[in-house]
Amino acid sequence: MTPGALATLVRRDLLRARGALLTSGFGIAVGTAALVFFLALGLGVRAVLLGEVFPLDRLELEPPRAEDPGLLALLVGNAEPPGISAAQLAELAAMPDVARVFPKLRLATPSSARGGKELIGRDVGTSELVGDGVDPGLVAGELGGPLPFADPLTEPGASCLDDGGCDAASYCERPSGAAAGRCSVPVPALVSRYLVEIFDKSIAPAHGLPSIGGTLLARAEGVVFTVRLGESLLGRAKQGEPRTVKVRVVGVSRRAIDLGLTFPLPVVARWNREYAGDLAAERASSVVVEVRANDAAGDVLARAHTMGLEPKDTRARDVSVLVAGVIALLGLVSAVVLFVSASNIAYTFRVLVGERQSELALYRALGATARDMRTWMLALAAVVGGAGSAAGVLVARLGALAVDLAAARGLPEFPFKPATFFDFSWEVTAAGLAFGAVFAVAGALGPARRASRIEPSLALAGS
Amino acid sequence: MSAEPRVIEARALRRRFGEGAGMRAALEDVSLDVAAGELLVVMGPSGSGKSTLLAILGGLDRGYEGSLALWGRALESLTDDALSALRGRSIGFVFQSFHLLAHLSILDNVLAPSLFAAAPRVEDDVARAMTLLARLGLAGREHDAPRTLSGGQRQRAAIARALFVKPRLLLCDEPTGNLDTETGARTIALLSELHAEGDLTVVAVTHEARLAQIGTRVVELREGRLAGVSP
Repeated sequence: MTPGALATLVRRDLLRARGALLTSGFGIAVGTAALVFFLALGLGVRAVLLGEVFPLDRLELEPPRAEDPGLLALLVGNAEPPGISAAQLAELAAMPDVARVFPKLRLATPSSARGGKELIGRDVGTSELVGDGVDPGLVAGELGGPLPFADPLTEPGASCLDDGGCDAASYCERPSGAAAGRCSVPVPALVSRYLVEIFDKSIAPAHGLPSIGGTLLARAEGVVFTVRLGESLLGRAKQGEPRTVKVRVVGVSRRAIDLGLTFPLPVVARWNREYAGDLAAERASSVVVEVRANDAAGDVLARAHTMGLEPKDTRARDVSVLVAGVIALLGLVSAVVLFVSASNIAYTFRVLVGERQSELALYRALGATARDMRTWMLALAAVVGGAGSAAGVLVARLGALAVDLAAARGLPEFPFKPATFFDFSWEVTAAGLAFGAVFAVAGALGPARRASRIEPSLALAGS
Repeated sequence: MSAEPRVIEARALRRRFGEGAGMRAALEDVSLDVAAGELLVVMGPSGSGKSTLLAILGGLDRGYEGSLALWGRALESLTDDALSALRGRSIGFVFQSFHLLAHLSILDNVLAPSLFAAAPRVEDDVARAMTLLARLGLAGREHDAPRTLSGGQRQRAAIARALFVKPRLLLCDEPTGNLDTETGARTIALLSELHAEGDLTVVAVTHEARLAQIGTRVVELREGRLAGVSP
């Protein structure tokens, strides 16, 4: 049988049995719509959570916190100091699945910040400052502003004794005990998108404050804070003299520490050495590992575990597992709908073949092979399933559009509220189309087999 | 004896239905040769096994015992594809109740065998179907539904469908069984005319004596056995 003849037979059937086939196609459409809708919803939510809230493409590893060195280690004096050594960083970098490593250094001195007038109209009171130092390469792809994120002392200014010796835009970077300092532009700092989102969507509306995200991104000159190093509300550093430096926010980054300010690594290393000693400056508090492919993350984590390093934030993994579970559950529901639809297809085709035994036998008498009969039924099912799937995908897209519109209009602003909750990648669409057609064809397998086994001699009985 | 193989060579055909105590023999030890160009009429009362014999001879029923060859090819050795191709290319069937498909036009009914042809030629096929219908007195009715035709017209449409593939063997199952006397007579005349035109071999099973009059040979089937041959 030629494709043209097959198309003719299928077209005639679609006209003849349109009621029954429409019902079957409707079931497939419902199942496909549910599958595609939930799949796209799950992937969309996952993309927001893992792409924006808990990024998974880079792993941050750290040694176990508050590790007990043990009595023996204390007595013999060979306890491993906290942090990640240069050797460990090199070992990580040498892993085949690792593209790059970016060490991070936690600010190891009490410090506090004051400022914010440019952002919210008035300075907030002195607050404890949590700081992080990161390799500028880690955030290089994210920052598009005119102000660089680099150690300002790579190009030191004039010698100075205090801020009065520098222009108004600079300050005197004079480490504790140094005879003189160097005029320096404010130290560049980053804030996290997470912090900005939380402030803009939760804190600012509650206190009648303006949002800061737009201000931060719009103000080319950056927002300047003063930071007190070596001293905070909670106490003083064990070494060094407290002093004040200027900090300028130059951008927003999802790599920045969630609650605090993130500085260039060399700056934090310098401050740590001044207030906490050499070890605090040399051993990384954590390391961000960029894997070559997301599916290699598991292997990297396993090897890091053998080195005594663990992921700092397991939320991404937890969310990933949670979302995968929800997707699987909703997918299962959709699969059940499709299975029921396939059963409906099976019933429809069984009735169809039963009613047409005489006709099918006639076609056999006229030269149709058993394979022609089977192909005919399966092609009909594929067309019904394909059309139902296509309708289902369309319904899912329209449903998603309606949900997004309703969410945009009806839901209050919240952190990381996305423009769309859905991810309709071509894979999702293809999966929906394929599943619908496959289930329809699977449902028709039995009846098609039965059609192929109809005895041609029934044509005479029918006559 | 001609070197050309006979159209039909049947030896000791036996066909049984059912199993165990309920088993019934529809055909018993039927041997039959049909030469090219013959018009064989198989007579017999209802239940004598005529339709069973026709189904076996047309390759529609393979549940028989014995041996059967068409144009020298043993049917037992043919695959389903090969047997279907043989039916589609060389054998035409005319059924008692016409067996036209109600959802198709007369033209599409006649064209039905072309759906399963290896290389259908749509324009040629339509032209041939139209010619056949005109020849059989159905010009102008090509696009009508079968239900709008009389019994005789339906049977002629069914004959046109059977002739569409230019068969070498035409098998007719009670071709006048559902027709009134006058229409039946015209159908018999048509079959005789078609047979006389070429080397078409015809096997018709019937219980109607008038059809026997046009046969080049008549055999009688009683209780599944060949009971008599004439002339």
